Amino acid sequence: MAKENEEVESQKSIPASKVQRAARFMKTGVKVGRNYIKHYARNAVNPGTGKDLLHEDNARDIYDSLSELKGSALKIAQMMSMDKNLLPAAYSEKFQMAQYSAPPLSYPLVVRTFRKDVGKTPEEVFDTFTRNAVNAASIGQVHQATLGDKKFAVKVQYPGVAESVTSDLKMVKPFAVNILGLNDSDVNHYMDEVRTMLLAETDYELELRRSREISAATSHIPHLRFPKYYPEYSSRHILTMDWLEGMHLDAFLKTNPSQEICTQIGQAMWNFYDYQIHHMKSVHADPHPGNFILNEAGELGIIDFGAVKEIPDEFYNKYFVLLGGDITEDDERLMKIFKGLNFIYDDDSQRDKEEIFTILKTMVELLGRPFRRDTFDFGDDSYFREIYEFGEESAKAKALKESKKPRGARDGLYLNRTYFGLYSILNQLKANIDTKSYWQENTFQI
Amino acid sequence: MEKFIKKIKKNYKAHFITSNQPPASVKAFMEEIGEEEQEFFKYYKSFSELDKDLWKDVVVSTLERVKSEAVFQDYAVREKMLSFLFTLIEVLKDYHAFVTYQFKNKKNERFGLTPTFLDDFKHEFMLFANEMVNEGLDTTEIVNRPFISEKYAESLWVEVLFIISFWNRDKSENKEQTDAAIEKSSNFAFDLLGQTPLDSAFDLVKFLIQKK
Repeated sequence: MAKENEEVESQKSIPASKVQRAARFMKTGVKVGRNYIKHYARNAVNPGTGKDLLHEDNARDIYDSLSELKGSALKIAQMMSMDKNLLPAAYSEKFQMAQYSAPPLSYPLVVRTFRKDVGKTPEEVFDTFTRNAVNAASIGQVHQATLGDKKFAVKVQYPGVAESVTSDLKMVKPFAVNILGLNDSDVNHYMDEVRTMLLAETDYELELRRSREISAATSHIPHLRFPKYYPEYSSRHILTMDWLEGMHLDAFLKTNPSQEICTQIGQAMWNFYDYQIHHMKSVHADPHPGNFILNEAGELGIIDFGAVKEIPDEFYNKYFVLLGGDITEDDERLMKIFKGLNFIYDDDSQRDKEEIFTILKTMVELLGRPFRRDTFDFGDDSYFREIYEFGEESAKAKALKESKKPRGARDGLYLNRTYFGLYSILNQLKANIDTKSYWQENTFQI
Repeated sequence: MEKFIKKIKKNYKAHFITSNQPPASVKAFMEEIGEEEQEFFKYYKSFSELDKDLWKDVVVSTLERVKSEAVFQDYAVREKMLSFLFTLIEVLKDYHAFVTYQFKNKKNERFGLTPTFLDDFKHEFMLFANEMVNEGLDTTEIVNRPFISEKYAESLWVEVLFIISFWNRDKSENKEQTDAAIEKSSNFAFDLLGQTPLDSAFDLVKFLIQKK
C-alpha cells in the first residue's frame, strides 16, 4: 500500500508509489500482450515451410513489431483517448484472451462440443477432420476439415468462456481501482465497453451473421477475399468457414513480395476499413495481423469477425469532424468538439484547459495527417517517430497526469484500437496509400 | 423379466422427476405402477439396491457408448478417460433428478469418499480404470512407480467422483463449466501419472545417496 508521507505531500497528484505500481502493471500488461501476440503467431499457416520453424519465426517477428508498437501505434491509442484508463483496459482484455488460449482443447472435448451443438461427431459431419488443432484462435482453436473437394477451417470454442469473461472482468475492476487510483465511475466507463465487446466475441452465431453482413457489403472493394461461412455446421461454439490459402503478414513479408503487391494489399485494407467506418458505421475492430491472410496475387483475406464495433451516429459526428481539412485552424470550434467528446470539461481550470487543448490539437494534426492529404506514405518511419516523441511529451503533461476525470468517449476505445492496428500494418507493408476517404463525401454537423 | 425390471427402473426414475424424492414405500410404488408388491422383492431387497443398480446402468451404458466410437481405439489413454467422462455426463443428463436427490441425501455411513449407492458403479468403473492404467503403463504414457502405481486406478475413481458431484452442482448454461472441469482435472491427473519433474528429482536424490 502507499506510504503515508507520500499521501500527505499532495492530494492532487498520484502518489509516486502508485505510479510505480501502475508502471509495473503496465509492464505485466506488455508481457501478457506479448504472449497474446506470440499466441497469435501460432496462428500462421504456411503450407511451404516447416511448421515449428514458422511458428518460431512468427513469434519473434510479431514480438519485434510489438516493440515498435510500443513506440508508435500503442501511443496513438493512448493519445487519442488521452486517458490513463485506456491502457489497462486494453491490456486486461489481452490478458483475458491470452488466458483462454493457453491449453488446447482435447479431441474428446471437440467431439463433445460437436455432439452438444450440432448433434453429430465431427467425423459424421465431415469426410476428414484433423484430430489436433492446426491453429489457435483467440478463445478456442481451429481444425481443418474436408468434405468432398472442399476444405474448411472449423473454429471450436473453449467451454464456459462467456461466463469467465464476466467474472474475470469483475476481478480486474478492483485491481484497476486500487492500483491505478482511479475512481469507480472511470473504470466502469470503459469496463462496460470492454465487456460488451468481449461477450460479443464469444458468440460465434453473432460472428457468423456479422461476417456475412460485412463481407457482402464490402465485396465490391477490389482485392479482398472473404471465406464463405456455413451455418449448417456452425453454432454458438463452432464456426465453420472456407479454408483460405495464403500467409499471415510476417510470413508473407519474408517472401519478399514486390512493393506494388504490398501497396495493393495496403490500399485494399485502407478501403475496407474506410468503407466500414464511414458507410456501414460498424467496423471489424481487431486489425490484428493474425486476422488477415495474404497471398502473392496481392489479395487480402479477412478472417475472424469477432470484434465488431458499432459506431453510434452522435459519436461518429464528433469524432470524425476532427479529421476534417481545416479543423486545426479553428480553435473555437475545436474546443467545442473536445468538450463534446469529454476530453475537456467546463469545470476544468483555465490552465488545464489550455494545456490539454494544446496537446489535443497537436494530436489531431498528427493522427489526422493521413486524411488531410491525397496520398500518404505509411512506410515513412519519421511520421511514426514524430508520433512517438509527441507521445513521450504528452505523457509528461501535468494536466493529464493529474486528471481525476475520464477523458475521451468510451466509444473511442475500440475505434482507436482499429486505427492504431491499421496504421501499424500499413507501416509494415510500407504502403503509400491513396487516403481519399468516403467520409469526405459526408458533411458534418455539431 | 427383463421387461419388468425396465418398467420398474423407468417409473422409479420418473418419480424423482415429478416429486424430487423416492416413492414413500415399495408398496405405494408398486401400486402406483399397477403391479404386485412382492414382485419387486423378487429382484431387489430394497430401494437402495435398486439405486445401486441404476448407477450401474449409468456406467455400463457409458462404457458401451464410449467403446462403440470408431475413434476410441486410436485414442491415447488420456483421451480415452476424457471420452469416458464426457460421455458419462451425457448419460447422466437422463438421471438428473435421481442424482440430485442421491447426493443431497447422501449419508456418511462409512469412512471414505465413495457413497454406498455407487458401489456397483465403482466396481464396473475400476475394471475399466485398471485396463486404462495397464494400457498407459504399456505405452509409457503412465510411469510405473513402486508402491504408488497400485493406487493409480483409485485416483482415476476420485476424479470420476469429483466430476459427478461437480456436474451435479454446476449451474452454468448447458453445464459448460463441467466440460472445463473435465478437461482441467484430466490434464492434471495425467500430468501427475506421466513423467514429472519430481521423478527426475527423486532419481537424482537416490543417485546422490547411493554414491555416498
